[in-house]
Amino acid sequence: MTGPGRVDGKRRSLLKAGVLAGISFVAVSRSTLMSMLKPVGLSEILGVPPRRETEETLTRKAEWKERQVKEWCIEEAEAVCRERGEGSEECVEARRRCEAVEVKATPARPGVAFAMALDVNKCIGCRRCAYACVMENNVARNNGIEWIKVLEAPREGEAIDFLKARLDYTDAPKDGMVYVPVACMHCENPPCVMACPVRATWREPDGIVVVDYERCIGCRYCMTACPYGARHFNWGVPETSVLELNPNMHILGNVPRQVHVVEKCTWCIHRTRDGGVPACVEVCPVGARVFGDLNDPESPIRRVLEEYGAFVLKPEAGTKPRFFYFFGPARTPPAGREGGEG
Amino acid sequence: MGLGLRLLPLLLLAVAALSPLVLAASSGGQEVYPCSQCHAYIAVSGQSRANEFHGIDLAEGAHAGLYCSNCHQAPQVDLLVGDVNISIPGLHPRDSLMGLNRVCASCHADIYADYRVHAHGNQTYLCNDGVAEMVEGYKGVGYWFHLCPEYVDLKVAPARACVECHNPHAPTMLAPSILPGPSDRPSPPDESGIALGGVVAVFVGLALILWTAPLKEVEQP
Ligand code: HEC
Ligand code: HEC
Ligand code: HEC
Ligand code: HEC
Repeated sequence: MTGPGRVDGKRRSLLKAGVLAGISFVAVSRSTLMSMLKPVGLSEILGVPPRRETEETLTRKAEWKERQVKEWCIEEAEAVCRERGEGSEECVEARRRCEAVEVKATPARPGVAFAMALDVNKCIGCRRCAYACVMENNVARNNGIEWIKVLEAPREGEAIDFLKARLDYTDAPKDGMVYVPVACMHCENPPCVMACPVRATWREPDGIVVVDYERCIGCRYCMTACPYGARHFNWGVPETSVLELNPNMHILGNVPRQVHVVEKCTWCIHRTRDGGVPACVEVCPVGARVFGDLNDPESPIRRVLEEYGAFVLKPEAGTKPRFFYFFGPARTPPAGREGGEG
Repeated sequence: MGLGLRLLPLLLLAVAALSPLVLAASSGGQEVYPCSQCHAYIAVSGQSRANEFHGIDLAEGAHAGLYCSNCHQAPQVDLLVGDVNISIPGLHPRDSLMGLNRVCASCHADIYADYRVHAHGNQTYLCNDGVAEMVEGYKGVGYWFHLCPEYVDLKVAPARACVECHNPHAPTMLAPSILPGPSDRPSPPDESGIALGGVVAVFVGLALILWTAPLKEVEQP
């Protein structure tokens, strides 16, 4: 075909190239282009490297969160004071708690590897750990979330028949039954971390698997990935009374959550990173739980593991839990009943 | 000692009058303390292993085989082995109950060692100038609320003394009552409205199709 305004092929491609170069030059600045073309690290191709917040950003986040929580708390406390009166006990209590709010960003101590062990011979299935955990971790009271679930399962010698396990037992302890509290296992190989599309959850150097609530997009992949059902989702806007607020908080742990984020056990990161014990260990009326540092030969966890051995749940899943169960020395499992608080 | 033994019957006569009143509430608590209310001394011989008045029977329970004198240092009423004085859970502060651990340690050295390294019993944490209050919380759990000026440099310590979990005279621990069952996630919001809307939409759609179909047919020729 021939006609007016005909350009030959060579000139046309030259023109096109010129225009394209012009457009791309205008649309993306050089620096963005360079960052877009940044070479991919080998570690990123071979496997997802653990994402961790630097100490600095975490501290900054914690400070920001503390201001936010305090603001919210004071607002709620004022509401309580208006409702119950200035001098009322509740008003004083609410203000006291808001005053004490402290959001920490304590980093992992180098060389520490936390682990927990539970003596199934001692556990009586009373569920005190599950509910103290709710209090300690400022878990929403309206979303039905309890990080610890206690299973009752028939016992056959030193084996447990988990197929017949149930949660809704109303009488305990019963003969021939064992009670197995289950929460996050803080796996060495956490499938939840692998499933997260936005890297909002990761394993800390001391072995605690944490969730960044600010990053979580609520897709719940991690919940399906977890073989232990240890992750829980805030389906509704979390409601916690300031009268029951635990002021000791960690930015990766028990800060009040927002709606549509996933949360889980953090081994009371706000206590243990600063040298304390988790709330479940503290409240257990029979002392069935042992917590400590695997790398410390003097720690209680080493002592029980060396003395009694241990088993883990679902070893075939390959998750390598850091939560161990063992059959302790209790010759007479606690029997009978005694009312009231132990 | 000899004198004590001879004086005992007299003493017993004196307390026998009192005993019916106190019997009901015996064994532990306000009524038996201070011991000097009734005794100036005790005279447990090497053979006593049961006492009706105090409701103690060492023939039963895990301490079967022990005698009072294994732990009580006669003739002093409130002296125990390990040279600690009697204190009673509920009546005395935890600090003095902790002193009684030495009584148990004299025979249960292994468990005591476990206890010392926090592998037996439960633990709590302590902070500088802090307090821990027991409050009744979620679903009736007794929860320690810690109030610290700063939540750093926490120290782990045993939360309870041996005698708070084990009654020295019948040491097998009794299980406390269990708490209500677990909760589940809240049920999803009511969606019957949405379903109704769907049904209505389907019907309206069908009606529209039926209504427009004849029109099309008319148009065709
Ligand atoms: C209300 C009066 C009362 C009080 C208070 C009391 N006791 Fe006794 N106690 C008795 C009586 C009565 C007997 C003797 C009963 C018998 O032999 O059957 C007795 C016997 C004993 C015996 C056994 C003596 C033996 O030879 O078998 C011991 C040990 C004992 N008491 C210790 C104590 C201690 C320790 C305390 C303080 C914590 C205490 N009692 C407080 C009334 C009392
Ligand atoms: C295993 C050591 C041990 C043995 C054996 C023992 N006691 Fe005790 N007893 C204690 C301790 C520890 C206390 C204080 C803590 C408490 O009361 O729980 C105590 C407290 C008491 C009390 C006061 C509080 C109470 O529980 O009533 C009496 C009375 C008493 N003992 C009597 C006896 C008598 C009588 C015998 C022998 C039949 C005996 N005890 C055997 C360790 C022992
Ligand atoms: C005089 C030595 C002696 C003292 C002191 C002593 N015990 Fe014991 N205890 C024994 C013996 C012996 C047994 C039985 C061990 C066995 O069955 O193998 C026993 C058993 C027990 C058991 C096992 C119960 C079970 O269910 O198997 C407990 C718990 C216990 N003691 C607690 C204590 C406590 C708490 C103290 C301190 C108040 C204490 N004992 C002081 C000698 C002692
Ligand atoms: C938090 C509660 C708690 C405390 C505190 C505690 N124990 Fe125990 N202990 C238990 C339970 C639960 C068992 C298992 C059931 C049983 O035998 O009563 C047990 C078991 C035992 C046994 C029998 C197990 C065996 O290996 O033979 C002994 C002995 C014992 N405890 C001694 C002690 C001594 C001594 C102390 C204090 C140094 C102590 N306990 C403190 C809860 C406690």
